[in-house]
Amino acid sequence: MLSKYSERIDMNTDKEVLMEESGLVEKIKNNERTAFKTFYEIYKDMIYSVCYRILNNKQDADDATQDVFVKAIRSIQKFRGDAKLSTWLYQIAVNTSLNYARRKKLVMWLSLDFLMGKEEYHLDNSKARPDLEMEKNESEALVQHAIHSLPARQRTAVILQKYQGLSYKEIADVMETSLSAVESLLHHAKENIVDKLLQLIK
Amino acid sequence: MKHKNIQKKLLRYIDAELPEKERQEIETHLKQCEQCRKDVELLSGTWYLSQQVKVAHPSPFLWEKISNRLDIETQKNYLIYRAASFIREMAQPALTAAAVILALFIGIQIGGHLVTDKLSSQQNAITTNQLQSEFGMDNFQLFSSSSIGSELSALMDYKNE
Repeated sequence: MLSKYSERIDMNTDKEVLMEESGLVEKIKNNERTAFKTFYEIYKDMIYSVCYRILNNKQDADDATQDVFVKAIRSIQKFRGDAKLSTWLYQIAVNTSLNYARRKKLVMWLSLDFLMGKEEYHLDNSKARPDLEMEKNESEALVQHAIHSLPARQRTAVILQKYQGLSYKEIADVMETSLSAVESLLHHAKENIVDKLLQLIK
Repeated sequence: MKHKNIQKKLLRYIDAELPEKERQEIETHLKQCEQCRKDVELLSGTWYLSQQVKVAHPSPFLWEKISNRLDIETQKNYLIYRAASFIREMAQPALTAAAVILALFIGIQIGGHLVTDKLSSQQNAITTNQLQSEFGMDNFQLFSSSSIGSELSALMDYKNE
């Protein structure tokens, strides 16, 4: 049943997705515990991916993912069903991750760690993923580092486009902004990434 | 188009996001600039390879943590619900008792004032009757202290007549 749901989400048939999702949403609204678990299993990788890309830290991404699901289940009554559930979840994930990053930055400032020259986030050790080729790991680390140096909104737009495969329209819905604003964010983000990558690579 | 401007657009060129005119300008430049060709090669390799990396899954124990948090919140909500029910159950008799006490208090206050007023008016009546019988004044009138002078003067005039 779970793989059937996953396939549905990959398909570009919005009505079918909405119909399937509306059944799941109703069960969550009715407090059916099995529905909570199904909901988690379907969306956990999607949410974790966004949180990890924004926070660049596995533990932080786990914590943020936990917060996202608790918030989503607790506030499911607010979901009106006139948009995709994934869009609504992305909004919660982005806001939760950015808030988490801001709090962590504040803690760093208060603890004066930044004066010691410690990096705010470290790149994940590629040895933690031995199954991946070294070159891919290095590329991913470089790009993640470059993306992580961007301002929050540019970072979010690039992550949603590059890693989540969202269209400009979908990104605009998630970030609750206009199409032209998304274009501008991506435009500036990619200019900044080029600068950073060329510094790192050369 | 200046070199620096070209460089800035390379990633958008790689992602095919440039308008046609700009794309052609860059391609013209790339034919002439070996440095930019190398940069495109480096950038596209890094950019595309990174997209092939899948992010690891969340911790296998994450659902358990989420479930525990939901349980705790449900328990908290249950305790709040029970406390609210208890207060509602006790509220009705408490409010009734308070209403009765308040009514008694108001009644006592009103009653007390009424009795005081009656005694006061009775006392005034006695005083008036006493004065009339003792001084034989037919037309005794209560007067304010400010008019004492004029009243005394009137009495003197009456006496002299």
